[in-house]
Amino acid sequence: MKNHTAPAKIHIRRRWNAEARYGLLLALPAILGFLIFTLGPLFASLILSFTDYTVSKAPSFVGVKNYVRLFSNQDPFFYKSLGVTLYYVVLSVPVSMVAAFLLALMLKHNMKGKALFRTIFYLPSIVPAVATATIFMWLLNPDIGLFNQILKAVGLPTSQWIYSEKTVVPTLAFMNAWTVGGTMLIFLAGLEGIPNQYYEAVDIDGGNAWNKLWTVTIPMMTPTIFFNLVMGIINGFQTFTQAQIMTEGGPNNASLFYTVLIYREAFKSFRMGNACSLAWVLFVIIMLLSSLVFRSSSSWVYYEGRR
Amino acid sequence: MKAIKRIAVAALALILCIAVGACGNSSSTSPGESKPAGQAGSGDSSTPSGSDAATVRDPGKVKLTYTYWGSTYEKDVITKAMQKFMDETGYTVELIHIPSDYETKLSTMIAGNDAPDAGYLGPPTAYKWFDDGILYDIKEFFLEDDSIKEEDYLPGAIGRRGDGIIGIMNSLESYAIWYNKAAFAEAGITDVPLKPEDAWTWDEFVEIAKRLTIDNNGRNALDPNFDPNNIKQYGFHMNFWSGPFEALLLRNGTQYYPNMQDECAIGTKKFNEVFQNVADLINVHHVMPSPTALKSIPSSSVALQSRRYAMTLDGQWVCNDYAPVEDLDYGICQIPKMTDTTSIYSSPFGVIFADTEFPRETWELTRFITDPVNCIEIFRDGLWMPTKVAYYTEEDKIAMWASESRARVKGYCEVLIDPLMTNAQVSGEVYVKNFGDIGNIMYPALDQVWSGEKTVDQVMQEIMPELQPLLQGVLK
Repeated sequence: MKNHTAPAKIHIRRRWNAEARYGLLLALPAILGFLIFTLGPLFASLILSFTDYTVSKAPSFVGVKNYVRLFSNQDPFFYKSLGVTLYYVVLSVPVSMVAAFLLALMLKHNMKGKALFRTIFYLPSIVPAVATATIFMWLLNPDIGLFNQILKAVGLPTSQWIYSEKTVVPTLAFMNAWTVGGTMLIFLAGLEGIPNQYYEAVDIDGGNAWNKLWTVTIPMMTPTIFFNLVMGIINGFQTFTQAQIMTEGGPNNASLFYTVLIYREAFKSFRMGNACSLAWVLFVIIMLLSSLVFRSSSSWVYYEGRR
Repeated sequence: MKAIKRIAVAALALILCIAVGACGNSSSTSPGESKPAGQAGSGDSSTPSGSDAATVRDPGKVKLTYTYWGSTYEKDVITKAMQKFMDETGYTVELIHIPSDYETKLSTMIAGNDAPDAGYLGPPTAYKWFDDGILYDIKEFFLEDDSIKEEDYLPGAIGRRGDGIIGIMNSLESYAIWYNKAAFAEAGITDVPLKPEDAWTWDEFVEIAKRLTIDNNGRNALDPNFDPNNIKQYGFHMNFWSGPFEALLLRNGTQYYPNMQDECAIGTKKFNEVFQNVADLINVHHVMPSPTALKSIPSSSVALQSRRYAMTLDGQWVCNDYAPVEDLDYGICQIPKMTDTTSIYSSPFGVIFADTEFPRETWELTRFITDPVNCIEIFRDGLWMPTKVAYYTEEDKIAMWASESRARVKGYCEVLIDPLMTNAQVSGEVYVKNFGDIGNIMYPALDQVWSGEKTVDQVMQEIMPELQPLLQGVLK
């Protein structure tokens, strides 16, 4: 026995080594990319968050001063932007989740031109964010924009949309539903994965479409919903483009999203250290929220019939 | 497993090398360390015959980069001037046009050790970067060259910081009212004030703006049936940044820090009054587009030509944009007075970056472009006003750049040139500490005023606690 196994082991090991080497070699660009362009800057920003760094001067270590500045209300925009961002997440995540889910439900049915509709609803997601923002700026213009023209035509009151403090965040959240194609696609994949016999079982029991949705589709979809929820929250907190292009954080900082504040601190006020500390606070917030969702998941996410 | 570990270790080591290499590189050449604050380059001034001056460089080897902002018309003018400079000197100049987020782009260039040799720079940032050793102290060139005398320049045009010199203003820019002649003629306004003493009072100005504001039915804002929700032609327009507001503040005898003294006027009655007057133009008199309405109004030259508005308060650089628009027949007149007729002027500095390989050649470039003798087009065609006093006082020199033309319309001399010599002040951005940060808090908050939700007094009272730590007086 001994004689027989030993060479085989060596053989496996050798082959493994060769394979591992090639595998690593081929993955190296990605690994290096991650280490140099993600992990490196990540640590650099952590270190910089404890410094006073203005680009024009070499960083000087200041301990936790940047963090103290944030939480002791010396930065007039910190809590404001945190509130704005939370408000946006609370509005936009449910809106886009529901929109994506409904779209996926509709597109799941076998109907004529299914592939065409799937393409059409996915299309906005591949339009560059800047182009989307520019188009919406035109649509939302209070004077010449299409939305207000339609509202006027049917005799409804018009809105200032992104140009009023009260409506800017809801408008941006609503606009976000325009780009739910990616989320929709994931829902669609989830829906396709539900075995047909569950629905047949509901039919046999005499259930209707509502019963199917409530007792089969949604429970079976919880892992997908869970995934999309986590991603939605993370993306919501990192929203930048719309606010930067369309409102520049205004009016009166009503759409000063957290990432816009980071950008402003770093590249307008040149307080890089402060911006880095802001970024790390955001990181911790997202971590906490994600872990909260993960913990709660055990009570509502079902994997193959198990929680 | 061992092999994986080995490769992983090797990869990590490689990354560390790259990272350390990059950091080491940046810190060793970091201008902050190599050239202490305020002394950048000045240490060499005692030895002008150093290697720089003594060795005559092959002009073909001199390669400079120059950064600037501005419209496409400005780009054309600067490109032409640079071409002239290159032809005369044999140097190569790479122009980098940065139309928006100028300082953002510049700061990333600096962070990447890729700062330009020279360029425009707004005064607040120029002071900060000079203190940090990013900018070259051009004092040595002043000491060497007898032909440059401070009294030749308008006050404030030479940016001083302690003993050092940050830069010379590229140009001067002052503000005026620009109007569409056809719109004025239709409203029957024939007599426009050119001299400061004839300037409209604020009430007269509001009345005129109302006559010039026309709704979709052709009624003006004085008509009781005027429809403020459907305005075809606004009587007046101005942009919502510090420049035009500073021009108006001086017309009410105030400023952020009046007369460049340490006493702050932000939040005082006179100060707030100016902003409230402008807010009333939007919300009470309906003669001026709000920031929201502005979103659907095209750029200044097009808007004035197509009569989206009949007059605008703007810097004189707009001449450079207006002149090429053939069917725009425009005129110039005085900014209305509230209690005062003081004019304002300002400009970015032309600065040299401390890391330049060719300080002397860069200085040549800076001098070349700011001197009307070399680059008369920049001045004559509308973009800049000269920085030297002689160009405002001597007839032949005035004629060089301000003779009547598409870019220098009738009345230009009375409205802009003469007042600069008699009663003018440099803008606050040149001397107010934390000028940019003050604006970052004040202007977004004033959005509530433009939308009509709050009064200026309310807003200023609310933001005063945030502003207070920033109000640190003036640069001396």
